[in-house]
Amino acid sequence: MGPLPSRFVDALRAIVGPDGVVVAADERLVYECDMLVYHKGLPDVVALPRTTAEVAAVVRLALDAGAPIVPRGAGTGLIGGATAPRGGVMIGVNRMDRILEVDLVNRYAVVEPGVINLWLTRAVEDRGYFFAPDPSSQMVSSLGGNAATNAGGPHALKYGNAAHHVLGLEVVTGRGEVLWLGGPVQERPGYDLTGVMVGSEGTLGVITKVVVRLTRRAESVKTALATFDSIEAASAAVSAIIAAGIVPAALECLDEPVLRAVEAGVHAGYPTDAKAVLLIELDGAAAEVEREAQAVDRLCRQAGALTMRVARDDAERALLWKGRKEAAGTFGRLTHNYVLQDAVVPRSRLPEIMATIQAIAKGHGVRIANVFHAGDGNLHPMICYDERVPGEFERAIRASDEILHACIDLGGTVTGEHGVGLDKAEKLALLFNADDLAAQHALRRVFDPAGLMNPQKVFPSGKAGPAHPSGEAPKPVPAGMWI
Amino acid sequence: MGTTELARALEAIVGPGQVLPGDTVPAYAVDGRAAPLVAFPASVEEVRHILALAWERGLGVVPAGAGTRLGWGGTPRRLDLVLALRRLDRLHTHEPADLTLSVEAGLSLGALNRRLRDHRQFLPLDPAGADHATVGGLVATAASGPYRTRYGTMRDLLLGVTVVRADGTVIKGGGRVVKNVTGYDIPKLLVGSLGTLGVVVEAHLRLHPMPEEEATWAFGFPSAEAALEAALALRDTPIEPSRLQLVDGRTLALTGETRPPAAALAVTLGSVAEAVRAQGERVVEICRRGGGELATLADASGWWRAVSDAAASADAHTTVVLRIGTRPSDVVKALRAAEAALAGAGRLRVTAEVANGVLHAVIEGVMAGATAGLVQRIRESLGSLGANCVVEQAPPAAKPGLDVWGDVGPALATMRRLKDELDARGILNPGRFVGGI
Repeated sequence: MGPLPSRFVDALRAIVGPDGVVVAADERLVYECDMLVYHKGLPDVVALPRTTAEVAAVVRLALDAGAPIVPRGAGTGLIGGATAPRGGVMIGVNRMDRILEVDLVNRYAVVEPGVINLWLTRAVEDRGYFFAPDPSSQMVSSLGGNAATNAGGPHALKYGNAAHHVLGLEVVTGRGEVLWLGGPVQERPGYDLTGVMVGSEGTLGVITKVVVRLTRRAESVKTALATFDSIEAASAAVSAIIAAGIVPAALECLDEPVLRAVEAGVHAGYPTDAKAVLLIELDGAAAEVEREAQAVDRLCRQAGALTMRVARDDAERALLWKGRKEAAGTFGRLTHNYVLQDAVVPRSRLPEIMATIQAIAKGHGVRIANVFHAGDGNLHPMICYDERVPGEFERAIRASDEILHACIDLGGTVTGEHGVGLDKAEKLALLFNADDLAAQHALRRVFDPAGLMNPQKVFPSGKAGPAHPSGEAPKPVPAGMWI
Repeated sequence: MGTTELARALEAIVGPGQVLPGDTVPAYAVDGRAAPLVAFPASVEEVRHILALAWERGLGVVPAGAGTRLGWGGTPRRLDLVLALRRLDRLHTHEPADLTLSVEAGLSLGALNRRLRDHRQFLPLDPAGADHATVGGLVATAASGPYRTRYGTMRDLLLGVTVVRADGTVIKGGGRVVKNVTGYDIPKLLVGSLGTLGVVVEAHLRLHPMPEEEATWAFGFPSAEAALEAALALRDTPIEPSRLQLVDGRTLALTGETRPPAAALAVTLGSVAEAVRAQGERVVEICRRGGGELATLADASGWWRAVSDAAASADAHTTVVLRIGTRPSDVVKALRAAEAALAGAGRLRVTAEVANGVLHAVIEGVMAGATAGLVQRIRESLGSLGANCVVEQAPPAAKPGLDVWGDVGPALATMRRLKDELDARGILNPGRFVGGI
């Protein structure tokens, strides 16, 4: 659409106040992309409401004007979700950042969407509770964004993605109506619209409140680091652990290139001579953790583990996790640029897909580094390239696509936790045929008949788009991109 | 089109002998009323053809599994055909190393779990009558039992689905892997939708490993309030029970207890043997401190079965079964509210899944004509708790016109639009879901 008329901006100011509207081009610049910087789309205007009523008024104003509406949390997504390829109004929920209610007896909290993930855990941890979804961005990403993208994290292995922890939502739909879906009472009749809204990536409405589940800390936790002389051996250990009926709280894998970068950047005490490590966390009843730790030790050694080290105290555990959670921030040491993939395979196929990824790397002459949620088969291969070298980016994209296809051929899926956004919209057709997608479109029409909520996200356009929408080489990914 | 002609058209799809007059298969009667026909397809293709036919002719179709929960939902506005899926009972793939499986909708939970036993894995759902309930039926009803405390509901276990839409189109949603955020969560939309949005014909499920050991402790309390107090105290510790069930004295009496206490709290722990023992000691300590008296259960699984069956043991013509959803800390307040509203108009007994705030109430000796008024009074008395009340079972004579679901609030308009989008002709379970959807 063309530029919005000035009376539109005036109307916005009347709704959210003069300090809640961003119109100057240089001030809007930070809103043109999320952490996946090569999908850029500048909103015509950014509104920063403080209340649900303001969000609803902004949405209605935009609907009347036929302007696209793009919700945005902290902008830490990795899929080009919070970007405005068709311009329009971006609604930033950052000023809606209050924890409204905490009820530990009933294990829930009601929060505004701009509350940062980790703030919530900080607010309840002294009473022994936490908010389980822990994307590596958790110190900066918002709960509204976590709900909208059905965010995961290392501990999703045992505790599940955001969908398992969102009990209810207040939303402003693409019809401009304010709706409460679900709530603190878990058992309720009717369609599970909460379940539909979570993970819909802002294409159905703007989340204005979230009722989240709070989880009790386990009695005991044990974190171990196992080293291997190949990533296949590490993968085989992962498959063996799951096959033995052990579901750890987290089971992460880092390969040699990542280990080196992390050690240089974070000094987490990771070995730099191993080809791969597994970061294994068990939690639960003390005796159970003890027994499972023995079994994990045995299974790792059977798979060829070189060393096994168990964190002796909380400080050592925190350091091991620091290495993992801040890994992405060290990637600048590894490569000038990279393409990040977020595909999933059945976890029994890990050794196979790891061999395939190495073959793909060789075939395209690219380096691929891996740090991923091994326990649930959620891969994050990082395909390295240098934008200054002609042809490298194209090769990296081809390798990334080939990996995705290989994952799907093994019974996997397109995205495990980052979402679809703009980046993978065309890839949806790899999993879903026209009839499957028609049902999803029908669902969308229910909430967003005008098709103005976060347009161009999630769904394929119907024709194959270019691999790289702008046609230009992407910019370097900054440090602090969280995976 | 007459019934005979329809039967012939259906038989051409499913083969001879697989279309029966409804009055010859009483298990598939809906609210005491037999459908003209019951069809038994054996493949997704057959389901597809049947629904395409039904869509074209605007038939009222009631999808069914084993028929164990056909009493749920309102009385259908139209009932031309019951689509019984029990012949779709193949286990397609079980990947023990992934803790996942793909199964057709008509396989019973009992049969499924028996086949998983050798792998020490299971699908951890235990609603009343679980053994016969089918996978598809459990998706449609989202029925849950005491295991919900630890394992959640079908919502937490369903990874993907194959669905035949009302017009016969076959679609899939979700996937087969345990972590997946690709596209809208169609599986969650179907869980608890009572077959009104499509017929689930295949499910991809997450399994759980069976714990090495499972043990149950039961404590008698002088009041339901005291039992709840202990349950909440237990919940504020790192102990994670598999079941945390409050059972009232009248239910206990049906398990063979001769002098039952006012209420009992039953706690199941599942883990390695040492952990069950160690945490069990803590459970005993906490419950005793709360005034609980440890009872001896000679046969725990038999006891759980008896508690579960107690709901089903009443005379269907004079019994109302309610499912009340509330906050965990309010389950006994909900019980007292129901008692007060009942005012002696029937005999009430309850069990409650404390952790999820689900109260199952069985009211015996209710006259059909008094049902609607009773349900209305109970809903009114629950209003201040923000609780809801669903009628799972009512005397068939009381069903027509009874709002079994209650008011679902302003989201109803959205739910109606959803139904209109996915089943524009309203052929699937017409009138049986919330707000008459």
